[in-house]
Amino acid sequence: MFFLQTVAPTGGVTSNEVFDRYPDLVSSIGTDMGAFLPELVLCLGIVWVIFVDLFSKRQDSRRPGWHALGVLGLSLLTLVLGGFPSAEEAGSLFHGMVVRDGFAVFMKLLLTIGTAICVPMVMSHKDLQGRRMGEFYGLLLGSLLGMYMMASARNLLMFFMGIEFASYTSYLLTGYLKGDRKAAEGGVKYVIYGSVASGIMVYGLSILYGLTGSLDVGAVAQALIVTKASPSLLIITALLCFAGFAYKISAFPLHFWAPDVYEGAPMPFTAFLSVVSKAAGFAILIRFVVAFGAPGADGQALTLASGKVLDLDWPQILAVLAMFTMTIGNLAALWQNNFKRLLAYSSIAHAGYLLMGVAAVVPRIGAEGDPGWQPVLFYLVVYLFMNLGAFYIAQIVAARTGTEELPGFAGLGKRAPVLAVGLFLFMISLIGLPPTGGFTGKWQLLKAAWENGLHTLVLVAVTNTVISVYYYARIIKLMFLDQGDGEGYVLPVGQRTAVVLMVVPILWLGLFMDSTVHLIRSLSFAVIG
Amino acid sequence: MLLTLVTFIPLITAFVVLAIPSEKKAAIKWTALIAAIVVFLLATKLIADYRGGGENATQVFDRQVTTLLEKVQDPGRRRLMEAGVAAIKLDFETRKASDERGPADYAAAVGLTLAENDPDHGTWRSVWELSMAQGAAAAKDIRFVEYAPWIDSFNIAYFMGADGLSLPLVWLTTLLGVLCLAYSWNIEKATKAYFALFLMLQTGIVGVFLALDFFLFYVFWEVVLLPMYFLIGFWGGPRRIYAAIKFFIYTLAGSVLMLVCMLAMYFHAGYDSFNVLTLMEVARGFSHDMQYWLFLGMFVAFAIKVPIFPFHTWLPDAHVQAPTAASVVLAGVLLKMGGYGFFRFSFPLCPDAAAGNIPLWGSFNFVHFLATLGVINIVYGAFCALAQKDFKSLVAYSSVSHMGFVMLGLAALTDAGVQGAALQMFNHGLSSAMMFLIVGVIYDRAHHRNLDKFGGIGTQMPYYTGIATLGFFASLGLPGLNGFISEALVFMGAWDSQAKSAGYPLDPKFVYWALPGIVLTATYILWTVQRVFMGPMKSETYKTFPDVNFREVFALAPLGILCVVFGVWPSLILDFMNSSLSTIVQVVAAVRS
Amino acid sequence: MGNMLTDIGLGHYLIVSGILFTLGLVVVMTRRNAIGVLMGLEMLLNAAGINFVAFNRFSAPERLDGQIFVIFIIILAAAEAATALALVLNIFHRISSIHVDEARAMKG
Repeated sequence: MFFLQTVAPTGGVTSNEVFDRYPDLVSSIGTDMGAFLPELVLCLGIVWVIFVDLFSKRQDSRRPGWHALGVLGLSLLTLVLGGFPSAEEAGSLFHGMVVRDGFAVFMKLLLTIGTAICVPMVMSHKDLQGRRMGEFYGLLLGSLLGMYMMASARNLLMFFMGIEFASYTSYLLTGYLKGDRKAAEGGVKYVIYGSVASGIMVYGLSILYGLTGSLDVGAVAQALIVTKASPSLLIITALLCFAGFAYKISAFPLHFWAPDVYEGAPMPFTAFLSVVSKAAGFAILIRFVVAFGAPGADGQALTLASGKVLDLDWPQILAVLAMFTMTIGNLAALWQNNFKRLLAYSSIAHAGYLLMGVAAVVPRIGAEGDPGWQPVLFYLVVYLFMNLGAFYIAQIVAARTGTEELPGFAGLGKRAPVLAVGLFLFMISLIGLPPTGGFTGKWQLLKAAWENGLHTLVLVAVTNTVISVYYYARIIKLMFLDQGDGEGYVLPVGQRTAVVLMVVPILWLGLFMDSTVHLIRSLSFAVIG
Repeated sequence: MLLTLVTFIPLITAFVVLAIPSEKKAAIKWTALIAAIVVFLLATKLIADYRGGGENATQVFDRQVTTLLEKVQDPGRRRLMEAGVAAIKLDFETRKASDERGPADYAAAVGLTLAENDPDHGTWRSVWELSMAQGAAAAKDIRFVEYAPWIDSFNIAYFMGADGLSLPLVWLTTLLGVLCLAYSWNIEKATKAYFALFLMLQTGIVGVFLALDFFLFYVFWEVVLLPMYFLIGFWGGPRRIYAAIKFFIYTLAGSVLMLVCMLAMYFHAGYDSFNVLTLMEVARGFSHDMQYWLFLGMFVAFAIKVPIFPFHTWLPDAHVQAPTAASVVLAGVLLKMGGYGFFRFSFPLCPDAAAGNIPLWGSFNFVHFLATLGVINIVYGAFCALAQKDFKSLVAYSSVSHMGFVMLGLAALTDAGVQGAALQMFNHGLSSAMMFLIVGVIYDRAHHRNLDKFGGIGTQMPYYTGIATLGFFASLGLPGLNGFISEALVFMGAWDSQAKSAGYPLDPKFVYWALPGIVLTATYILWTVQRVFMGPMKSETYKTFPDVNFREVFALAPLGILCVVFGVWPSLILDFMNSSLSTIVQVVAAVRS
Repeated sequence: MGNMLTDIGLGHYLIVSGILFTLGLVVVMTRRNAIGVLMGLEMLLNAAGINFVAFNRFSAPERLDGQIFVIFIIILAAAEAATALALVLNIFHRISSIHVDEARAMKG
């Protein structure tokens, strides 16, 4: 925030004067733009897909989809070519607005891959055929752009902007099927609850700003160390801010929107919300927690974390929230009959497991060495493939049976064995059974929680795992043990390949997680402050 | 390599079977059966080779430590490491002489502790882990070791090994694999999936018995779950889906507790290790508090599998609904996974709890706890069996009763008791497998299992009656048949416990309390034999029943022969297990205060 | 803080924003009319806005970042209102009502 820090409050400055007084600013923006290439590609891509749509026929609704895939591929390419910045290379862009580090690049890769998996789902979704789809892809890419910002924000303004950017586009995409009553309802509920959550968050951010006099996360964290504010004020501020993140990751107590929105939104976008949006939410939560969530280096300093409410400190609060999130998600999922709704509750439960990983790491932030984000990131990778895979198969099945209710899956094992086996693997991965990535991922989360003394949380989490068997196994039962009507069908090669492509990472991560773990451990995390 | 083959040939065959078109049922069955026979022969070779010696785990790890040390370039660091290894070894020697124990032992690892911040920390850690594993008492009996890094980030290794405890169970599993596949020749519903799942199940079970890395063990343990779920749920009886999900949830509830125990131990080990042998060494330093919870957690996991009262309620449902061959595997070897867990994990890893040094509450300690539940299992199981109208649930409850002996023998902690317990696991594997096959044979003909509606089968099916009676008497514990030996050993051990126990001396009263179980067992078995085979025929249709066919004889006869062989020549297997079992007793004896 | 009545200071602004925030929350929670909820929402955002401006003026007057933040809040609030109104209009066409309670096609 160069101009904010340097320009005096009274003196008006014209743009020419800025050039004269700060000649290096312009050139530094130029160099920073190089590292900002993936975002720029997305920005141009948004315009591009809309233009493509304008110049194509209405029936040609897939065409902008291919272009969107191209944009995503290009963005992915720039990310990969940029590589993971090492600890020395990590730093800030645009004078401290945006972070450039391994963590951000990794999250962006994850988000882009997730979106790229959703795009073919959009292209083959039957309710989204024969429409003008340029806006849909434009909004989708816009949402991804907002999530890029969430993954790399280091200024409270960027926190706010990223979340809002990702949210507004999501609201519209949820209600995209204008003729559909469920979609309309889902959209309204999403926008209302979502705006309230971000309203609360921005109020929290304003208090944080007041306590520290800065918007830069590093400066805020530094200022908090010497602040004389009361611990309860700190924790209330943290909780107000947390509302925004909790909403994004659908964590208790801001989880209630998820089922309706998931059910109302078109299936591909539900998949996007449950995976990509959640991953972005965790990215920004981690950024927030790293800056404010732990005792300072000397272990004495005050931070947001040192506040207490009801004798609970910040890691314990996160642990309690994690417990509630996973338990509520799992218990509510037991009674669901709609696949999207069931996975909505299941995704709430998984937010709880992931939150467990965050809670586990909090006490170690600020200490020397890697605090250990790796279980959370690893689980996000696994979750991406298993949940998107489940939605992908559900969409194919729903298109065949014409229903998104669970009985539509009855006898799938006989009708379409490839789909059934694929969904079976995703389900056991969601339960957390070997030999899938769901097991190794959840195992790492449990391990991290146990290592950091959250023993009760671990017991609650494993109990939840047992509860979750009941509803996941119901789908397995429907597919293989129940008789279903309907013709058997041969899967097109494309769909078959897609299923295999998503199954392979799940098994790979389940059996040979070493390389992924090493990669994630080697990510640099720009130390802010 | 041999252990890997024995474990994974079934899995690979399962995929081969899946690749065969479903119409070619004969090809599917023969592929599966041949693979099972090959695995059985390999397992037999393992048994034959085991006595011949060969490198044991101590030697393997010794060699590996040497190799590791040779790779260290810096002479100073290398000397320090050698000193650390020597200190650990010295620690073993002194401890063996004086029976001292406790965290002080770890002073020996001081050289290694110094290495915490060494850049070569990985080597230090491996040296520590392997040196510790090498010193574990159980290591000397473990042969055919396969040790390769698997997930380096968390120090998880692919560590397989077999000793006198696990090999008989592996052999039994592969034997039952062959017999069950042969018996399942008449499965027509989704043949391909059935045979593939059966083979996968076998990989899981054998893996459980052979894995010596806790993580690997857990993976195999969970792998068993799903094939069994499908076998019960798809090919089972009318209430199969209920039974399958109950089995699934019960077992998973237990295994997640084991997972928690595993994590607790991993971090308590000091240098994050999943190596079971290392953990056995480290466990000596675990506090009583730690062992208390560890024992309880693992107890629930294994007790559900055994099953021990009050965790047994899944078993009758699963058994009654499962198809015959699945029941055979379930009773024959799946329950033994629980028993094996007690031998391999609960006792060596929580020796203080096993020795009765830790009170559970008041003056009631874990020895009382196990013995009480064992006696309840014996008597309660027998009572329940007596009350059953369904032939299969009678056999299921008889399993509950028989597994009680395993608990009683273990609690006694005398040589005889522990041998009896281990032998009982093996014998029950033979006799219960036989009983379930016997039920299967009659069910295939009568299409019901109501004991009150049978009668007079003896005259119609004389060969069947002969084999069946043999199986029932083996289960009853008739002298000359295998069941007698193990039950007698358990009682002897429990009786002698006051004088000879390595742990807390068990009151002979437990033997008195268990005795009614013997009488009840005799009652329900003889009554069953009478109801099924004797008396007038209660239905005309029974006259049309053919006697046992080749397929059924092929499955039943080997089991019958083995029941006789191990009945008259128990030392054949006892000698084999002896060394491994006495190690367990010694480990516990070393900590008895 | 001096004389509460004559010296207008940071406290006054914070009290106003606090009241506004509370009112906003109450409105959001009690109103069943979607437009009403959106109005409450504006109050939440404006409460935050007042905070930012006030804090900027009183605790870090040498920089302008709080003021800039408010501009962004205003812009985003406008965008939010546009988005929300579009969606509300959409549901009004479906169910001829803008009461959130009426939107109950999905349960569970």
